[in-house]
Amino acid sequence: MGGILSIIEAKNKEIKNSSLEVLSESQKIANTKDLENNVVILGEYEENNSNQINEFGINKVLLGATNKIENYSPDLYKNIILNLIEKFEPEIIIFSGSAIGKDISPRIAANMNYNLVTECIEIKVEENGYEIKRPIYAGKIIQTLKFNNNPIVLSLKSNYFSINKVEQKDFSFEQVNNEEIGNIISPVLKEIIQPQKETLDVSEASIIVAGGRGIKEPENFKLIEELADVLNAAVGASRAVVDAGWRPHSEQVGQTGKIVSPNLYIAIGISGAIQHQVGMINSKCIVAINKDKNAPIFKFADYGIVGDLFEIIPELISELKK
Amino acid sequence: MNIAVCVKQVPDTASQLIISGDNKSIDESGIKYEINPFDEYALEEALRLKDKDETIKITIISLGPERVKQSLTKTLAMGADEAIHIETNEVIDDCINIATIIANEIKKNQYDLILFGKKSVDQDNNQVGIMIGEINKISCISNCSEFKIEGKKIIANREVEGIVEVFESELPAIITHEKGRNELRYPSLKDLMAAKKKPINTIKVETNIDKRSELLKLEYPEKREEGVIIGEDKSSVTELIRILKEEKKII
Ligand SMILES: Cc1cc2nc3c(=O)[nH]c(=O)nc-3n(C[C@H](O)[C@H](O)[C@H](O)COP(=O)(O)OP(=O)(O)OC[C@H]3O[C@@H](n4cnc5c(N)ncnc54)[C@H](O)[C@@H]3O)c2cc1C
Ligand SMILES: Nc1ncnc2c1ncn2[C@@H]1O[C@H](COP(=O)(O)O)[C@@H](O)[C@H]1O
Repeated sequence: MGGILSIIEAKNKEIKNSSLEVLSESQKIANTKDLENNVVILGEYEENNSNQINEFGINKVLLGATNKIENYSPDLYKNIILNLIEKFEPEIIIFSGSAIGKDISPRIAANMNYNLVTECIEIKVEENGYEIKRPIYAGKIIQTLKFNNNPIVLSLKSNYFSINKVEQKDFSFEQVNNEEIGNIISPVLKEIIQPQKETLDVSEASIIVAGGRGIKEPENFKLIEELADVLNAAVGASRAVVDAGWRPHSEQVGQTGKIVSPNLYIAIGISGAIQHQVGMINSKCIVAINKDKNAPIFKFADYGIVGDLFEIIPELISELKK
Repeated sequence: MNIAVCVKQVPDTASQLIISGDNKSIDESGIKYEINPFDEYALEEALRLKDKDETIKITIISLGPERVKQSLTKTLAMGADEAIHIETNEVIDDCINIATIIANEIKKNQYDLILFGKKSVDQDNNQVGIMIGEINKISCISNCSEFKIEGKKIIANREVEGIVEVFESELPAIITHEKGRNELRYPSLKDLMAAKKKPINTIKVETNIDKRSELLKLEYPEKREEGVIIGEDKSSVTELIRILKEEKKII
């Protein structure tokens, strides 16, 4: 027993960024502990694409055969991974914090009766186990947990780890068998609804322009959209405007919305309530535009403009267009 | 139809949290406890089904210390029929243990639908509901933003990474719920009085639990430095653009 099993996802034949973070972290652990790192790729991927992943010290790449199905199937994915666990007996199984990672990792942990630690932000190898840091209370506090040598399942916080490559290394590909899939208990994906217009999702955008109740009318969100357009940014929203029905739920940032960490977050007419703050405080740079100089948002924004958004934003758009 | 909703009691999301002197716990004095917001949305969905069909019975299940009863009373006032309090005075940290205990309780009854929040906002685990699905071999659709029941089937939407996945499953099924589309209801004083007559069954659990993790410490995240106010009017726009372009190189 021993070794790492890294669970990697491919989309349109490319390895997802959140999965590259997993590869980077698992190679670090493999190196410190002198473990084998076996990687399973779920989704469509071609062997001759290996230059995307050959600098992460991987030992073996297992193709999940999930490219035979077009869409996500909890049962298929779960069973492939469970079969691999039986075969390799890994001591640590690492997922990304993607939608699939979030859905599958608890299924694996429950079947194996292992602990699952989600949203990991630091994994330290100790002599007799692992020390793991993760945020709790929406990031108000960081906890450090110690796990002894029992096998564990981890999932990493997305957009948190840097992608560090090491020297190039060859590895073998192996096709994974998914013939024996019994006990189907999970739901079946019937349909995928694509967004009406191609918009950038807040959880994937590197710039977010977010608007709050200070915008006053739903029609005025045109301003926010226009600014987002010029910056190639996603539109975000506070809960106040989502609950009012001005903006779709998918745009809500915060405790009960999305937790984001873009390079730039521009908060416009948003007061910065604690439940909003916890969703965006890890953005690399925060800009706030608010007419109230005492608004809480200015306590944690890097740059602020105190003023009327209906004057500032049109000016900002026209200056950026120059 | 029998519906169970699993609710966890958590500190109010507006709470300012203070780490105790032992660096391993949160100072509980002054904390107001509430129902986990995602669980409240899940409960609201159950209540809306019951609004349309009175024969539906809603059972609330919560694992936690004595103070959990207060939240259970609130759920009964909102319209649930009965509550099960799995009482433990020991803090159980490992989700697999929490899931196993709740899964055992769920097994005792025939529920057609079991609702969870997608995650608890204190521990941000995102796993207990999905785990219970595996333990009890019940089909689970996680992270749903809305769902509907058609005969013996459930159809649920998962909004993930910019798309909507529509999943279908036979009942019995487990749903872990996102923030919902529906506004929450607030119990009136009269509802609260009536709730006192509804049953809360307390079940004590054995506490010789196989603890698998050890909490070493709690700490605050690094504080963001207070930023600068660039200016108070339109003229600050040029300076903002200069900073973002030249200093920060992010636009
Ligand atoms: C359990 C729970 C969960 C929650 N989850 C979330 C969440 O996920 N996300 C979230 O955002 N909130 C959440 N909230 C709500 C949160 O507490 C706040 O109510 C909400 O964030 C406020 O939104 P806002 O900043 O848009 O509105 P407000 O607080 O009303 O702020 C509007 C701001 O606009 C400014 N303004 C007004 N006019 C102008 C102008 N002309 N020019 C410039 N500035 C102007 C005002 O000065 C003010 O600061 C949650 C609350 C609870 C209880
Ligand atoms: N102690 C508990 N009692 C009842 N339900 C719980 C408990 N802990 C977690 N849950 C349920 O599981 C969901 C997910 O929790 P978690 O995995 O901790 O993020 C919550 O939203 C609740 O519905």
